Amino acid sequence: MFSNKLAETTNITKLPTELQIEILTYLTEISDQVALSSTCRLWQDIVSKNQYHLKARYGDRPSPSIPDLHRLFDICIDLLCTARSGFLQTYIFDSFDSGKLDAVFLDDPLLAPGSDYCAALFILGGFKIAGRNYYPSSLFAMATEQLSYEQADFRYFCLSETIYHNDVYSQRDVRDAINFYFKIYSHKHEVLRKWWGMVTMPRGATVKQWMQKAYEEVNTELTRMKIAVDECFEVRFRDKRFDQLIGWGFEVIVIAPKPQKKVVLVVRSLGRSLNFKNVLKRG
Amino acid sequence: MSTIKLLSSDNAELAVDKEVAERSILIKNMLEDVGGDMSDQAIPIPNVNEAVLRKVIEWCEHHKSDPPPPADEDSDSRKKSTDIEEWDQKFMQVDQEMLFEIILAANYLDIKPLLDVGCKTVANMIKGKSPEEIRKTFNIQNDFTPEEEDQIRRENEWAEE
Repeated sequence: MFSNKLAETTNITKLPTELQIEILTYLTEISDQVALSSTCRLWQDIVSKNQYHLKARYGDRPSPSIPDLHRLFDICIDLLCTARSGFLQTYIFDSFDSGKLDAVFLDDPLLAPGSDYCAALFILGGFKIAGRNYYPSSLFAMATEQLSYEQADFRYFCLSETIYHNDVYSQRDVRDAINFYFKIYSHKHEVLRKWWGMVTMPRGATVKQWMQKAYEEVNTELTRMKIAVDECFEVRFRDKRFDQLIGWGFEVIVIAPKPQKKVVLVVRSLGRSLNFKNVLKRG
Repeated sequence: MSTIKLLSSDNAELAVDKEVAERSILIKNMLEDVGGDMSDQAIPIPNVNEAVLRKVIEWCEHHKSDPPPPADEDSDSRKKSTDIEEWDQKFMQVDQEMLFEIILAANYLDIKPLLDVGCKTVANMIKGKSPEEIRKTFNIQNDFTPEEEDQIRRENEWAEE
């Protein structure tokens, strides 16, 4: 009787659920939350639904994140998404050996519920085909109308980043990819209005919906440029933090694994080459 | 000082100072309800075996003069600390079976500070680990479906090649 009872309780998942919740409540760091929700279904369920965990998934002062913004991208991980027939279908964190599909946090709003911040998505990327730079329309418009005096910097920067990017990807698997970067910035509304060519989403839009939107924007651009892509896309969402004034952004690379002429990404961290403070003041 | 007796699930009778035993809100309320002297009669603790009960009593002995925990729980917005005082850390250096038994006993006996220490100890064992490491540490079954796992592997190969 004695040993039977012990055997029943040796596994942590045999503890009553309320005690497991009690334990997990001590683990609110976003990296721990990601790990917990990838461990087993019960923990995934607990972490995704527990209000205490949910609150902790948004920035709080004095965190480096903008308050109210989801901290998913605070941890430097790639999030790989695969798209089929126009929709993102799977989401995988590739920093974990045995990551899991469909990270539940992607159904959280990008901004904390009730936040007085708003977010916007706009294209800051371009790509290069056979030595010629191509920019998505919104970027081009921005570069000419608002960022003209910094355009030289921008181009220079693009070139250096191209080389860097090639280095990285040649070690992995280049297979002539089309790469786009999206930046999603979140800041106060007044600031936002000064920017050109953005896609906005309703408040409360989930992380997933933002990603789907980013992906659709890429698709539109590709179609506009008459570049054929496979049915299957891979989208990488990466953490990238910029100038604190702008605060936070993440970048999306879309890789179309279809053979093309040399097509590489050109912009990696725009924040480093452009002084956003100046741009904002001037705008 | 009056002494009371506790009867473990495996029928061991343990004598404890009333003050110490009353760290358990369950026992405290029980004694209040009875309203009288329990010195001649052992209180049954049917959910806790002798080894665990001794351990719990040891903790209560050490913490018998602690101030009662604040009635108001930490505010929801504040992050819970996983700091554990040194004596408690040593006390919790037991195997996992015992650790979980202590947590269960603390929960059943309603000894909130001991429950907290137990939960914090487990939380610290989880902190910073990858899902695979967590599963290994606690022998947790990976219950995501094989299709999902396959897909993850395939996708990762694609990314890492």
